[in-house]
Amino acid sequence: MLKYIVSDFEKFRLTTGDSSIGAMVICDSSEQAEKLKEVFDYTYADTSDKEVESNLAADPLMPYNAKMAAQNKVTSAALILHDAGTKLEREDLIEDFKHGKVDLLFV
Amino acid sequence: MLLTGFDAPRLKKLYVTRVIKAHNLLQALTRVNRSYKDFRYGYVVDFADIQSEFDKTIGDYFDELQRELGSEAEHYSQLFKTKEEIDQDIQHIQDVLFQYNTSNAEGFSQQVSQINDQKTMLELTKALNNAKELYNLIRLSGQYDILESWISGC
Repeated sequence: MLKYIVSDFEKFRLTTGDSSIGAMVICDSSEQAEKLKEVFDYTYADTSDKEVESNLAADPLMPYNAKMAAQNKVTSAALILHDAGTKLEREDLIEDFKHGKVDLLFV
Repeated sequence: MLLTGFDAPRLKKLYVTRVIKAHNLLQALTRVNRSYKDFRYGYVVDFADIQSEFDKTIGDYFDELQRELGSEAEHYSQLFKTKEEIDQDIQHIQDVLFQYNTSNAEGFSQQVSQINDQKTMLELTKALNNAKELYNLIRLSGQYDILESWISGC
């Protein structure tokens, strides 16, 4: 399911021509949400600095489709549950999402 | 969690993996309807088959609105778009475009420049914009059968 969600969301960003949009996954249970986040971090998360990535995307030598793919790539996710982390941590994550630093939310 | 009072306009895509009940469902779905850039729709991917619960909820909600607002409620029945409504929209676009020459760009441009009436022009612009958005939407969801029937209908 996660594979579908990530590829669908990347395709969605490409089709709408807007890499700034975010997505939310409403999970069945907190266990599922935790597991999804774990798998996401293992498979898709890019821990390198966003700064480096944007420089890379601006490289004029990069083919257009590769550039678009890099821009639309889903690289960060956050887990928001009542029982995970402190209230402050959750608020930080929500702020990060609103400002576009997080691509995907698991709730 | 996070279904209520969460306002992030850039959130435009929602993946639903469980059936959410009643007003919570509406709350959840409307997370994606904040206005953001040129988006006219929010998008929902349904893994949990929320359709029946959705029909029930929207029916209840509609009844409640109708009790409170009377005939005003009619304007609110168009909150969500189904495949049937998209088909209807396509039909409407075809009706509007019918009198124009859509196979020849030059001919079409000449016809457009002859329009003097603001209302006709507005209707045409609306139909074309709608067509563009629906086209993207259909391509995105991979429902090429609709697209083919559309093109052959033009």
